[in-house]
Amino acid sequence: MGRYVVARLLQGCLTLLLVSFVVFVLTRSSGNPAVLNLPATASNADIERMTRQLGLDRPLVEQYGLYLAGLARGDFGESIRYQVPVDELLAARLPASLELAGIAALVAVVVACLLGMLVPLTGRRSVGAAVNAVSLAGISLPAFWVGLLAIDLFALRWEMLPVSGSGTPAHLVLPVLTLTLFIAGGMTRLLAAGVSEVTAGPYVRAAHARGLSTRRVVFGHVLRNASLPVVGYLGAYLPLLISSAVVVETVFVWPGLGSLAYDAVVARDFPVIQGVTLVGSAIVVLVNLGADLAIAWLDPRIRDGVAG
Amino acid sequence: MRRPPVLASVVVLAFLTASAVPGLLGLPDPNATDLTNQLAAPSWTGDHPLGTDGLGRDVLSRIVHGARYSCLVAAAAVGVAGALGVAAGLASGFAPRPVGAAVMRLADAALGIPIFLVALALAVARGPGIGNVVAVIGALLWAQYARVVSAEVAKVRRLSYVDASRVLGTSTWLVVLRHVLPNVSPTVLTLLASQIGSVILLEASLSFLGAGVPPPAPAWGTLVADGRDFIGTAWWISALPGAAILLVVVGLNSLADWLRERLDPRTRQPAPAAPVAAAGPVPAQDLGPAPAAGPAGDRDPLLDVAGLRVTTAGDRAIPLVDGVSLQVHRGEFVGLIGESGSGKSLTAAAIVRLLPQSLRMTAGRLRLGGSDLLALRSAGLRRLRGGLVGFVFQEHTSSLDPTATVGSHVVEVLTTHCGLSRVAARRRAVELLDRVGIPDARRRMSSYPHQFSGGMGQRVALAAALAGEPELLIADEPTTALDATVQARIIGLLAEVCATSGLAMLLITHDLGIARQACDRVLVMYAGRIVESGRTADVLERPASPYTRALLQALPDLSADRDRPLGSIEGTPPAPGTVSTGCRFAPRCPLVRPVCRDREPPLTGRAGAGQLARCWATDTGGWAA
Ligand code: SF4
Repeated sequence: MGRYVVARLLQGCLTLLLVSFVVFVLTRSSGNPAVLNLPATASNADIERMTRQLGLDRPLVEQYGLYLAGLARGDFGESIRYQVPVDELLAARLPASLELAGIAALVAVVVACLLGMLVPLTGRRSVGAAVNAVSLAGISLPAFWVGLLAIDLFALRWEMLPVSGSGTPAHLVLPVLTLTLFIAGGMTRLLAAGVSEVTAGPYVRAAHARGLSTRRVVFGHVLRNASLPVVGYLGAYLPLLISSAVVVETVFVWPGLGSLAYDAVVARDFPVIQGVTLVGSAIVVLVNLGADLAIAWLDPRIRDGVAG
Repeated sequence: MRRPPVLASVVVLAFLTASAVPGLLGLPDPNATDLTNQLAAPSWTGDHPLGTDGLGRDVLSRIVHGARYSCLVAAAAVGVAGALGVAAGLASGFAPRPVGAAVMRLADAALGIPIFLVALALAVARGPGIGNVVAVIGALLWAQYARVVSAEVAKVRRLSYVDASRVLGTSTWLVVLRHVLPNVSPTVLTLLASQIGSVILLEASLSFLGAGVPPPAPAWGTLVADGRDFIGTAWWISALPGAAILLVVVGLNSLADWLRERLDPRTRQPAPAAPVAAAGPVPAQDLGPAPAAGPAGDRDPLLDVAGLRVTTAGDRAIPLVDGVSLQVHRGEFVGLIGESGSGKSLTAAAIVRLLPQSLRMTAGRLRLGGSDLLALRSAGLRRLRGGLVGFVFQEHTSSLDPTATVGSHVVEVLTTHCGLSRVAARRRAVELLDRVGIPDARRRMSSYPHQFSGGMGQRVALAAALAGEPELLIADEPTTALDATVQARIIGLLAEVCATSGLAMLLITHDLGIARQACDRVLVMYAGRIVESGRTADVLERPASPYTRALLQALPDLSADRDRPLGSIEGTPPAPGTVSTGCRFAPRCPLVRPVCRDREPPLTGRAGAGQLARCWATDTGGWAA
């Protein structure tokens, strides 16, 4: 167990290193990196000062070292648009993103479990086909489009909910729903696949042969085993999930990291987008680590280091 | 197997056509602005069937021309990722170990990179562009291919033929081309197909944010973004391009699903359906003969099955178990012998009505301990399974949930069937584990199945089967997966436990030695039919059916060599569904005569002998031969 955790931690660090390297290469390959970190109106003296600050006159390896050291101190530079240190911006925007994504993920888990369990509980093929269709639609919907349609219908036409912004629970409804659609779609697909594999498996048959009720079999044995692939594939889904989160925040002007990223794209604010990318990667690494721990908790074979 | 998704194929075909020849429909220039005709609503009769946008550009034309960008980006990005990933996977599979491991570590780390954010950063650093999008998505999706390919290579390498062709002097790369690629390609193809939809969504999201395909190119994400300012006034500008994205992605994803089902070896056979846990009454059928007197002269058997038929569902209704009748009396040990595919395990499952959903059963009579199983509904059946009948399956690894503790398997039966509290159930479970010979039972309660050896695991399965205090134990090939020495010990334990608690046992096995060791009476099954039955000593010493005789001859020494399959009789059993009017063993029978091919022999025997056989030769000398 201990070795497993350490291995996963090291892998997470490697991911972060990889991201920082990619971003570093990005800046160095785009002409003069000093210009990237300064507004268009910057004078030559400003550029020279930035060049020295970034250590651009030193060898590349040393530059990368300096860059990493800066990141480790939380020094992402200064926002070109807002004229404040990027880390302050990030700290201010992070909670809103976590709130939105957290609630959406929670709702999605509940929805996915309900839909995924419907098939074994009812034992009907038609239910399976319906769940399949719904979840397929879920992962195929462009989140930004769903968001715009939702605003058009619920906010503008029927005036039931606010168009955008945050502050009240009503503001949460549309962004959460839009984001949930996508997350729940993917989760349901994985869970349903897992469930159909597990229910066809011999130990579920054995559990039925011991006379357990369907409910007891499903919640006692099927759910736990079927959730393993869901947690396992979380890592592969995260990149897509982030894209949905960013567009949903943008569409609903939700004051989180996603809309900050959009602002940065519009204003060509490189220090900010760099900060968002790195923080986003750190979140992904943490979530993946959590998923790995969850798998170890769910599957005793992993805990013992036996291939599952 | 699902039918090919016609609708999805049409959508995808239309998408590809629009990408290749957007001018086909003779639509106006997608970028031609018409300031006299801004925000025209969709109308089938006008010049703009799907309306115009804020600059008076034709929405339909922009959608059709925009397909090209989605298609291009998706194809290029997935192509780059696939090529990179397959190369990396092959390299890591064939390179020296440390190099391969390093590549895979890198792949794992790359899987955790949030592509979308990196793409945004790239767009800021270098300005939006198609090349950016392709490069970022391609460079970051490769890891998934690398992972499957290297796993697949490792699997293929373990198969001896790769090394064999190496020994023969073929170069490594030829080996790769010839053996690995065909094995890997289905997996890679399904991955490719399932990624294209996601990549189109990624590209559209990037373009929507202004970080993807740069304007004025009418990429779909850009089109939706164009309409953002007109939400509530001109819905069509955003809604229609978005619908196009949805349609194409749904089409691609359902094609990918279909492809996966076609190519995945695990799903290529018809999916094993879940067992029917809740089933209504079964239609009754022609009644078999009245129960014969058991060894104890007891005319009321514990288990009484007559005319049991199991068929596949659907129009063809291929019979797998065909008119089986059997009785087990209290305290009696009965063996059900047959080759795999003879229908013996299905018979056992059908007794507790636990068949896969793809099968149907009928029976003339199915009574257990006085209750009519055919009339029972699911609640009654559940009380019976695990309560009156205990089941032991082939391997403990398959009958115990790998994520649940050993103790919980026993405890859940006790709380379900005996109404014990959890505390009392735990105490009783320890006793039961102790009873079946698990050392240090109290501590082992919280172990997991994978921490048990095969023999110990089977003891746990037995404890769970005994927990509901059954009267009948059905053991389905309980020792097939075990070593010979452990095998004998487990069979001994089964017999001892049943004998001391007065349980009857139905032992399903392909192993005559085990049947001889444990059973009072045996039934021999062939191709869904009982072909012989009688006291163990009679049947195994003086077999009446040529099939039983062949089984015995195929086994040189009854006590040893259990690995040897019964299939060493010449020929193979008829495939299920083979229509035959005569004896089913005729194609393989050394005693076959003309009548055998015309009419099927009944299951008969000499009066009073208690040994029945289904053979025309039996009456005319087959007995003694
Ligand atoms: S009936 Fe004929 S073919 Fe069948 S087992 Fe007897 S002798 Fe052989």
